[in-house]
Amino acid sequence: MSTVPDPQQNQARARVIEMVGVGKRYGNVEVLKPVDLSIEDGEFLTILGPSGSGKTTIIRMIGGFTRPTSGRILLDGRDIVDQPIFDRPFNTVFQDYALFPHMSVAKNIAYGLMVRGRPKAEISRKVAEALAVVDLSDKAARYPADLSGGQRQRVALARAIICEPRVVLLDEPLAALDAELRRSMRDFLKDLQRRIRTTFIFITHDQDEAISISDRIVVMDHGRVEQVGTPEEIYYHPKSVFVAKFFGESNLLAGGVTALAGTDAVIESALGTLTKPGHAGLNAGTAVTLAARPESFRLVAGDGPRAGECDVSGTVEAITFLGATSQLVVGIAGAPGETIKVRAATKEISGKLAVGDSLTVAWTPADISVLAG
Amino acid sequence: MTRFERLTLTLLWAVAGLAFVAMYGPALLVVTLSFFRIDRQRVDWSSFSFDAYAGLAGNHDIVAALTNTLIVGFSAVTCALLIAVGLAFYMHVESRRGQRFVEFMIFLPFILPAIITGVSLLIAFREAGIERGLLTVIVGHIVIIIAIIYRMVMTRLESLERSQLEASLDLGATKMQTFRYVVVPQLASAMVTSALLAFTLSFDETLVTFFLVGGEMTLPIRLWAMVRVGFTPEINALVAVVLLMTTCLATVGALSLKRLVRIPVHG
Ligand SMILES: Nc1ncnc2c1ncn2[C@@H]1O[C@H](COP(=O)(O)OP(=O)(O)O)[C@@H](O)[C@H]1O
Ligand SMILES: [Mg+2]
Repeated sequence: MSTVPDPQQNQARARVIEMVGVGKRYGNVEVLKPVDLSIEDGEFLTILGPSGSGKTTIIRMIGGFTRPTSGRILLDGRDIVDQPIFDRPFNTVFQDYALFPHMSVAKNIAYGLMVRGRPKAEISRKVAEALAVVDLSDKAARYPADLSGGQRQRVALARAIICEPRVVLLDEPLAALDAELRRSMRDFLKDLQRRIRTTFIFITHDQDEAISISDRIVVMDHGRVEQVGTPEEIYYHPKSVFVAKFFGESNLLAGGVTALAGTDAVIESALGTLTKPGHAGLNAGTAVTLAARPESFRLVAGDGPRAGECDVSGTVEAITFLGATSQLVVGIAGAPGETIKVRAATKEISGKLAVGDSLTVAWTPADISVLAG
Repeated sequence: MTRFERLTLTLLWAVAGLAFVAMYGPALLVVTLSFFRIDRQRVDWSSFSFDAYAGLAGNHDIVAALTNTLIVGFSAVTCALLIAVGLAFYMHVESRRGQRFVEFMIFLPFILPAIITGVSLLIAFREAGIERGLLTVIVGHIVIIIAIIYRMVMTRLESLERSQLEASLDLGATKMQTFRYVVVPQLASAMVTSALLAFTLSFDETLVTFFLVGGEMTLPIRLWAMVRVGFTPEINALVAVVLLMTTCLATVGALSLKRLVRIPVHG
């Protein structure tokens, strides 16, 4: 499944790269099902998915290291599938950094300019600038072996941006770093991308990283693009059970379509009857899964549900203190065995709610996603 | 330690000692004898001198043979190095399907009995109408030593992460630039070591050379010719010189290897 990006966004930003039906197979194994994807100028696009889902394959095809078996890759509207690696205005930060061990940090960074035969003065000026950008000015004469993981990573970054590529491709650049360094490198990357206003295509298998850093996320699984969207869209409006499960916690409830009214679908589930607009594709009798985040539910106090809200009553089965918020497991009244996780501010419930209490939970239908299967 | 163990250990030491004597004894004997005169199979121990060495230096045939050997060694090693490194890089970067086959073809002359290699080359040169001489010897040596160089260079190449080559191309380098700036500097140690090893092989190669040599002799062939006539202190001196040169080569090799290996390695 591939998703057409929001047309409004496309008007705001020009497309740099357009992948049209780009697929890859090795022999009989299809490692990437044909993908349609537009990459916009200046965006931070993250490709997210479990190991083996085809993330590297995508950026290797963009970079020119792997040839697609189908489809076209357009750069500013021109097909670049036959263009050799060194002719493409992209630069890559490799997962293992791939620094040249026999060259100093400065030489590594200068490499792209050196092989293009740029004048010495220009090279040394730009290298000094790049070193300053990645905060390694005092390490210019060192060798990669003398650097820490985070420093090597920054050398690889500086080396990749010095030729001012149209797109920087980053293949899990943070994977080898420890948790704390990851977080600071993540902020650094985002900041760098803003400063140099260059398109970044970034690979990770870490959802939190993807959510915090990206303008848009491409979620992949088993060589297939599951969803493309902004972090919020993906978090609050997953389009498949896989995506809903992959990001944080979510409630997944079995349901069934009972009737169709125009493009509205009427769905029956433990939460009661729900009318969702814009589900013309469904048929009466189709089994669906409803997905909602724990924080999409609201505990109803004396005032009752607000306009446009639905509600359901239940019993508190468990309370887990998580800090500022607490998570309740609520058994739904009239649906034995069905529970929902509800997130509430700890201050609101402490001392007021205990296991066994009855309560009412409200939600807005727009916050519930209807997923196939 | 039991008595049996102690006995075994003593025995092992004795065997090791014998092996050592067998390996280095004759060489030392030859070097020692090179300083004395030999009269009817008897060593005249009172005649210590460097006469044999002086005779060696004054022997034009031997000096010419040594020169030829050096010419052959340098030319063969240089050519083999160029071919082997180019081929290894091509095979590695392009991941050619025929890689195994090419390696087999390269190794064949190295594994085959030298007689077969020598005779086949001889026949080939004759068919091609090429006169025997230093050139044919050089070709013969290239055929033999290329396998060593190729293997050592390839081993180093294989340990060089592919992503480094990709990074170079990614940064805008052509394949030639990648070869020059990324591959060659990192192959330097393997190239020096394999070249020295190949030179040593070429230096005392006798059998194949024997078939391909024309009027101009190499040092081992000269030595061979001299031995057939009879043992002289000059032969001992020549062996001593060869021994010294080989030892020097090995030492230089070991030292340069140590120096080059200091290149900081990734990781
Ligand atoms: N050269 C190759 N030959 C065969 N299969 C490959 C090759 N490269 C990658 N694959 C397969 O393609 C799939 C996707 O790989 P990859 O794009 O590296 O995944 P990811 O980067 O998401 O972990 C994997 O199952 C992998 O085994
Ligand atoms: Mg990968």
